[in-house]
Amino acid sequence: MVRVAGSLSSKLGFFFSDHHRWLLQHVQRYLDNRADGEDTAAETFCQILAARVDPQTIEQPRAYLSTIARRLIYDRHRRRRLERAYLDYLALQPEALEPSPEDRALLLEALLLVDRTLDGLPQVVRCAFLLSQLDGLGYAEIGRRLGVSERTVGRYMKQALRQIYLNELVP
Amino acid sequence: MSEVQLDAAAEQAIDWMVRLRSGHTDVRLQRQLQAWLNSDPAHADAWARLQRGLGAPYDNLRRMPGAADLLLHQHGSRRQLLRGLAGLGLLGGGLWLTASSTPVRDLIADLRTSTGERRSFTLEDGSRLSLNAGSSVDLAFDSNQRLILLRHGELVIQVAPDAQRPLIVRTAQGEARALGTRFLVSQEAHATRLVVLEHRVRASLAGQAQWRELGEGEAALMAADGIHPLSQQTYRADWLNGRLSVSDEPLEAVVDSLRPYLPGFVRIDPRARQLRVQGVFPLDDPNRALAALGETLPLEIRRFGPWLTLISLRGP
Repeated sequence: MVRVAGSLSSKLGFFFSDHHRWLLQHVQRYLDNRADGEDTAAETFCQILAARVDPQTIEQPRAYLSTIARRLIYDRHRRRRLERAYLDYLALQPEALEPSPEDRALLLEALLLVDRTLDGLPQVVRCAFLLSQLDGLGYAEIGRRLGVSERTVGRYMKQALRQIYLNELVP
Repeated sequence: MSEVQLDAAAEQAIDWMVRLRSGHTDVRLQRQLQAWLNSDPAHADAWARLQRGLGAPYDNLRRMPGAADLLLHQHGSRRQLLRGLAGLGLLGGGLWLTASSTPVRDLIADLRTSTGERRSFTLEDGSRLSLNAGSSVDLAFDSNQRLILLRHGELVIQVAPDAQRPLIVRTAQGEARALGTRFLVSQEAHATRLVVLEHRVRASLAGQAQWRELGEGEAALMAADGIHPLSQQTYRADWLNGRLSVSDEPLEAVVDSLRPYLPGFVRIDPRARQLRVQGVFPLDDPNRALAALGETLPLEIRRFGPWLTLISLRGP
């Protein structure tokens, strides 16, 4: 077989061999067993293949790969559970407060998006970030509620914001 | 995934955002940020990207009062989730932190039923517990008492005698203490319904001295403002046989009883909620039950896939 230099699939082949081992180790930490890790790594590369992304245009390959992989792991675990939780939440609302069907779809989509973006962050980091982002609280107040110092809240915020930024690198 | 590297502009943008959110910002900081943004187009790009990541979905979630709780609680078990939902609006207390670290947690066993599923369980003491659809309980049995925490839904319990350990069903409003007996407890939106099927039960409200003893065939509604006696209610246990019996109740209440059997969400037009309903409906075929309601009442019932059912008054 003659390899056509510069073709998309050969570039992807190199991309794959450059990063496969790293990605596998990376996802392994979030999954229970090796087979799941290999599946996820393979699926991650499949997605890039399917999207026909030119790997040379990916500026930060590992950030890109880890974000796609995180989304895949998220979908495996949690999407349906959150949908169910949202329906339970709606069922407990007095009907006067119920959102319209359109609002409902919008809110569920927003919940899924935020949940997926924050996936993998420790609970306390998610909590600190949501208190800042949704309630607009300063670090002193957040620290008081979580029982940690202002400095620590700043560190939690940084951790959450880094992940949010990473998420924006992948369309 | 913190070991992933970001470029310098991104790291700086994040540091700026961390400082900006601290609650200690002043004009000087704002000016410094502006200078940083102007000094390099890459800075402005990174800042814009971070802003995008903090945009639309959060604007929507601010309109939804329980959003933070949903996002924080749906990781663990359903039990934690329900605890989270019960505490909606209580996020400020930092309650979730203590809730998940209570040592009792490991001693608690879960029993639950999903939508459309009824189940009976024999407990370790020989008591027989039946759960209506969409219900969940935690059990906390020790050498002093047999405590059943009704988190959600409805149960009937046939209590096995044990003179040393009283059996207590606890709900959001209070508790029902068995005095050798069979009874029904239902956790409703802001009250607990208690129906005594055999012998006697003592009902008491949480944190109050008030209590009331109910005899066989008697029923009461336990709410924040007291324990209110109800007339004949034993038909409410008909779900054990897959039937929903209704004698002159508002449509709203009837649909509430069908909800645990209907997947997705059911909404009733406010104008239809108080229509009076009579009849016996099949629980295991909730769509037939809805259709039967539509035949006897002036209702229009529209289904949008399995996830949404709208019940409204039929147009003139």
